[in-house]
Amino acid sequence: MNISKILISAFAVLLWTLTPAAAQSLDSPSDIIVGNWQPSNGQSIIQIYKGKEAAGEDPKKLYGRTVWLKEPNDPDTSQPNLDKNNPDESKRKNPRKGLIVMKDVTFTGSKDKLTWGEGSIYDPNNGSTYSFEATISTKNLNVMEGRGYIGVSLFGRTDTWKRLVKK
Amino acid sequence: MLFFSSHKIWKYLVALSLSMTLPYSLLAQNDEDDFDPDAFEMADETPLRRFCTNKITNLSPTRLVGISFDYLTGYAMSSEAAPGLSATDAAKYSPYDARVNRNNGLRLDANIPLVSKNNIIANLTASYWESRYSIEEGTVNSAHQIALNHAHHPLRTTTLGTLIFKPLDEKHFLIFQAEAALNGNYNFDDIKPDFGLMKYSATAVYGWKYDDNRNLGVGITRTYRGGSVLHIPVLLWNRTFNNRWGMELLLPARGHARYNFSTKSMLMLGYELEGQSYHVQSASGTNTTYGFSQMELRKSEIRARVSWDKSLTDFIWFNVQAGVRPMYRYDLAQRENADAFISNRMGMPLYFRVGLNLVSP
Repeated sequence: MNISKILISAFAVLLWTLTPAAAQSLDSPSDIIVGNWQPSNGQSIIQIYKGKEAAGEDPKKLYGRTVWLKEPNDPDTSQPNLDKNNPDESKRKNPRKGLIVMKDVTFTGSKDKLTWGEGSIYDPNNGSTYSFEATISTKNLNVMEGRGYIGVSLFGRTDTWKRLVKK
Repeated sequence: MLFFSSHKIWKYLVALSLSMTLPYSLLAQNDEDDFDPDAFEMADETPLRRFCTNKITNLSPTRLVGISFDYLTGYAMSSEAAPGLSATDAAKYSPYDARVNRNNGLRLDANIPLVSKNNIIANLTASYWESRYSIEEGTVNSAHQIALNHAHHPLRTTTLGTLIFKPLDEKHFLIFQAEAALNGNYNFDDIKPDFGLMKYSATAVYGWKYDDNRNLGVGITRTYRGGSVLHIPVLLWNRTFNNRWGMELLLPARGHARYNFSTKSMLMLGYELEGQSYHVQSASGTNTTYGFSQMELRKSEIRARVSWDKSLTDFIWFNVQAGVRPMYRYDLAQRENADAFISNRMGMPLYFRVGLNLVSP
């Protein structure tokens, strides 16, 4: 094999691995949603991951945790923001950073239609939990349309999230 | 040899490249304590515009579907010739009194999102309101014909419309509302509705969202809340002062001070102006009303109230209101745009309303 073919092949492989979406190819579409995402309001970053059995989570399902807040501290107290609107009083002293806000999401689509659902998303601003579904276009795996709704999808709101990657 | 064989070079490069194919999911799954936002960037340059929302902190919930029962206690209903009539015409309409023992009715409201995204919310609105008058005919002079008409035929309002919230960016937004209303004493039996006399209203507002605790809007409205058509300016102002207190104004239609017990329970103190223009008919085969088989009723009232909203579940809220109902206008005219020939003075009853609402996320 001559040197030019080696270099061309190596360059092609290198280029493929440097493309973030390629790291989560459509051969494993259910994992495409895994990663760090920022909602359109820019107020937080949510890390979506596969459930951890040690934490009592279902490894076949997906979860989301708040890993960053634009305003980490309560302006009234200068202390870390807490989950003070949680309907469960025992959880109101939990910090909002690190809060599990997305639970039990599963892949509901196919290689050609990337959808997730059957889970829930929690809004600490009002203490309400909604049903959750998400869609990622096969043309751009770095943008997700996430929808929280009550009962039926009609009664919901869609927001656009963008993927973050390491520099 | 200074160089490896081509075969070994190839194997080395493939191994190196494959070692870089660690899923980004693994790279992303740092513990949240290790998460350094400065070490991350957007995955690509896909433009993602940010838009303001239609809500501020602690705002009263947006109702998607609601059912309520409205009840007014007894009051007097006195009719007389409208001001400005000639002496000859005024002589036809002597003053008469009647007693409305109670006034009540069902209210159904819907505000269904057809499109709900961060860059536009478009809702289909619909409502059905009834107003039934409990009047003992035997106590009413036969010349007090509007009271007798009400005793037999409740007033109904059926509306269909749209409400659109369009954010332009993080700080500016537009609101547009339009509605067609069928108002009258129709019952689809001996009194059929006249769809040619539907009333159309609309509102357009341009607004600013300063931050999560306040927004402001100015606009113009075509409205029947005064009983007849008006084209007037509107002012929208929502302000949350702190965790407890706020204001919600959409003037001149309504205005309330808000006290939040929590995000799930709040008290509102203020008023709402309710009004419509109704097509009142005499049932076929019955006596006419003041010699007319049909006329226009211009009704406008103020509901001064205390209102309590409480979340029963995440999205089902209970509402109870109590207050008084001063009547602003209750005039009869032969047709739209004609001068009124009868004015009615109504007492100021107490009113109560209870309801359940499915509210928006």
